[in-house]
Parts: sequence; structure tokens; C-alpha cells
Amino acid sequence: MKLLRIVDEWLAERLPMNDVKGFIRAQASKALPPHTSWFHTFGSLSLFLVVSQIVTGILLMVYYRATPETAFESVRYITAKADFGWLIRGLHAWGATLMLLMVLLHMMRTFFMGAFKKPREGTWVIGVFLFGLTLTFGFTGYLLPWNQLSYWATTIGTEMTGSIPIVGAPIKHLLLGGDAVSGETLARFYVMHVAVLPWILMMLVTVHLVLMRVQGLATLDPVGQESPADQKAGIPFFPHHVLKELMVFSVFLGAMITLVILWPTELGEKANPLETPAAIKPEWYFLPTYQLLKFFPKLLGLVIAFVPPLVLLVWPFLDRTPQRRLRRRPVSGTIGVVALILAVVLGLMGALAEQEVTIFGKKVHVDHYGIPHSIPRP
Amino acid sequence: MDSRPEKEETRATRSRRSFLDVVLKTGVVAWLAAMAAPTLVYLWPARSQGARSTRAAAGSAKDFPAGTARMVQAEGAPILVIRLAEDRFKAFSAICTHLGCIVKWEAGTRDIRCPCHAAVFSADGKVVSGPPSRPLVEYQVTVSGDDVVVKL
Repeated sequence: MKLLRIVDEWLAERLPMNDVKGFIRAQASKALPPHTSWFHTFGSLSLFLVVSQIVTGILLMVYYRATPETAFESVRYITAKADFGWLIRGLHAWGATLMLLMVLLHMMRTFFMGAFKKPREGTWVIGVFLFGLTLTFGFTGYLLPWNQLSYWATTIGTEMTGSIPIVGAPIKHLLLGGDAVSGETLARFYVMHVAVLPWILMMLVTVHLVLMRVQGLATLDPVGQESPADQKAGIPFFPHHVLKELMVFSVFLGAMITLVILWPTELGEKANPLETPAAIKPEWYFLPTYQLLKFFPKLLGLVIAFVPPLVLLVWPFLDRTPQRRLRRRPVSGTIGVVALILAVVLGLMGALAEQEVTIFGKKVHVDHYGIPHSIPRP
Repeated sequence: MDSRPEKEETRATRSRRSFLDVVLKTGVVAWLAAMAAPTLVYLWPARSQGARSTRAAAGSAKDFPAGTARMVQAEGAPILVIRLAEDRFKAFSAICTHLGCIVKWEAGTRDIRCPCHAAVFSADGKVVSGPPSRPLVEYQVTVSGDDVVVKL
């Protein structure tokens, strides 16, 4: 305690510590709106996962070697030989999937509670960029184990980029570092994954958080009639909400470790540029777009695929009604639900495509387009 | 009191200021471009140097039974060589024209299939079914003595 007082005095002689302490106190005691619920923890869970991904990512970097000759072997070493390597890698791989899930749930909460409306349009727009960035993290990180799945999923993904008119081919060339996925691509994706994207992420997350703290959490009152949450009716950020978040973090971490143990991330076979495995598919978060692209010629498909993210980006400027409660804005609520159902259906069709599945005890063949066909009995 | 000279001076100062403003802003843009250009050039993938090979060996004809296929690599790219009959060879780029997966020869059905999106190409490389819009890129095959050679 004495040491703390000495440090405190030392700092007070050099910095405006009263202002700093006042700021921290004001932030900690800031009241949150009374409707702040468990759903409001999706955002902080996303942040928790950012931290977890950074920590596990740094640990993985110690043994990972980003060349085609060594990448697969180094990941195998991490998984099979390094002490607790299976846990670190598992947490990183599951963390990527769960982060996407949490970001999506956080966006859904914001959408359905009308929290994106004035004056928080900027926070929403940055959030959409953060969603795109999370997808880019997923795409660049997927190649790094250099296994068959990652190699061919990246080939398909970059080929799709290449079919964008005019700019597609040079972007693809720049991404790949050549004409096909190679060691150059691995190096480029690695640099993006560990050096470029994290900086952009940190900057955007900081602005996102500052805006959220400055503007406060949205209430359910209509735009322009929001009354700031007072200390009486509101929920104190500290300790009430912080404790709720800590509780969620603990349960979430437990769930993550359980997932890592019960469903470990397979490494599969080393990438072979001369052999594509059957029915290669992207990760679940790319499946709806991937499936959508099958129904249209390349160019039209890409134009259509660009519509949902674009609509998402400008949504606060399209839905300008002052109402936030879902039942008072049935049109935007319906659009949201229909878009979600469409994404889930497309994703399922993509997941089941090109294989035989049993539906209600009947064996069917699901074709390239995700349409089931009954298999004639021999 | 005539304030004209003063006004003219203000105007002159203003135009001088706006000129300097433009010069400064252009300078900043030029400086950024000067920094960005070498970065982009640096990042642009280098072209392979030296002479490119014009042919690729596909092994001996003796142990290449009719109705089978072989995968050979030329300049890093996979090429599918098929022996359709005793005296008939075909060679195609094994890269599917849809999304870049590697196609395979199906001896049973005598066609070429892509494992990614179930595309089917005929033995002469044309699209039979599936999403690709273009046929496979074809190469000439010659047999000199016992050697099967693909002309690139």
C-alpha cells in the first residue's frame, strides 16, 4: 500500500492525475440504460475474443514457420508435440469461428434493437467494417496451416476475386504473389494476418469503443427523445455490468475449452497443388455467398454478392424512422428476418451440396446447386 | 477614404495564400504518391526470369496404357495427359476453367471431372455439364520414339 501511495504521489507530481482519475471514475460509474441485458454482452464477447486471438496468435507465432516446406509441419508440431500446443491452436481456431458468430450476434442485437439509428450511425458503419475485417482475418488465417482444405479453399476464394471485372485480375495477382497459390501467397497472407490486419483492427475497435462510450448505449426511446440513463433508473457500469460480463467471459472460456477438447481442429493432409480433394467448401461464414454465386453467371453473381454488405453499410441511412422498438418498425424487422433466413438457407444448401444425405430416412443426392434429388433404388 | 489599395492587397494576399495552399496540398499528395509508388511496385509479384521451356516430358509410351491418364508438371502448372487409344493422345491444362481446381480423368466414363463443383468435360476438353463456361486449355502431344512429349 505504501508503494502504491509513493507511485501515486510520483505520478501526481508529473501528470494531471486528478483529471485522469476523474475520467476513470466517471466512466466506471456511468449508468447504462435499464434495458441493458445479457444480449448486450455479445459486443464485449467479441472484444474478449479479439484479446484471446491476439494472445493465442502470438503464442502460435513462436513455433509457426510460414513457408510451404515448413508451415504444415510446424502446425503439426504445435498440435502434437509442443506442450499445450493443441490447446493454444484449438483456442485460436475455435476463437476465429466464435468471433464471427459473436460479431454477427452483436450486429443482430444492434439491428433489432434499433441501436444503429441517429446519432450512432458512425458506430454501426465502423462495426460493418470490423465485420469485414473479421472475415478477412478468417480468410487469411485459413491458408496458414497449408493443408489440402486451406490450399484449395484459398484457390477458389482468390479465383472468385479474380473474376471481378477490370480490378479483379490485378487484385488476385497481388494477393497471390503470382498466378497460383504458392509460397508467395503464404508469405503475403501471413504478413496480412499478423501485421497489417491487427493494426487496422485495433484502430477501428478503438474508435468503435470511444464512440460507444461517448454516445452511451442506445435506449429503446425513439430518435430525438432519448433520455440519458440516470444513476437511479440505470444500471451502473461498474460493478453491475462488469460483473455480468466477467461471468459471461468465464462461461464462454469454459465452453471454448470444451469445444477444443470435444471437437479438435483437424490438420488433415499437407497441401498438394496437383490434387484437389472432393467437394471442397469454404468455412461456414462464406457458405451463403459461395452458394449464391452458383446461381448466377460470374459477373452478375459478384454484383449480387456485393449488395448485402453494401446495404448493411448504409442501412442507418435507409431506415430513418425514429422508432427503435422492433414492433414499431415492421418493415425493417421483416427485411432483417428474411435476410437472416435467406442466409441460413443458402448456407445449409451450400453445406449439403454435392453429397448424399439422409433426410427423414430417405437417401437423397444434393446437387451442385443444393437441390436434393431422390436416388433411384437399384 | 479610398480603401481600394487595401482591398487589392487583401485580394493579392488571399490569392497568394490560396496559391500556396494549393502548392502545399499538391506537395503532400505528390509526396504520398512518391511513397506509395515504390511500395506498390515492390509488392507487385516479380515475373519469372530466363527462358521458358517449350515442351514437357510425359514419360514413356510403353507403360502408358490406352484409356489412362498421367499428370505432369510444366513450369509449375499441372497438365493432364490422356492416352485415348493406342495412337491417340490428348493433353489439357488440369486447371478447371471455373475456379481453378485440378481436374481428373475418369477412366470408367471416359470423361474429365472437377472434384470441386462437379463439372464434367468430354475427352476433348469441352464442357459437358456444370458451371464452367470455357473448355479446358489444350496442348499438342507428340510421340517421338517411346517418349510422350507435350508441346507448351
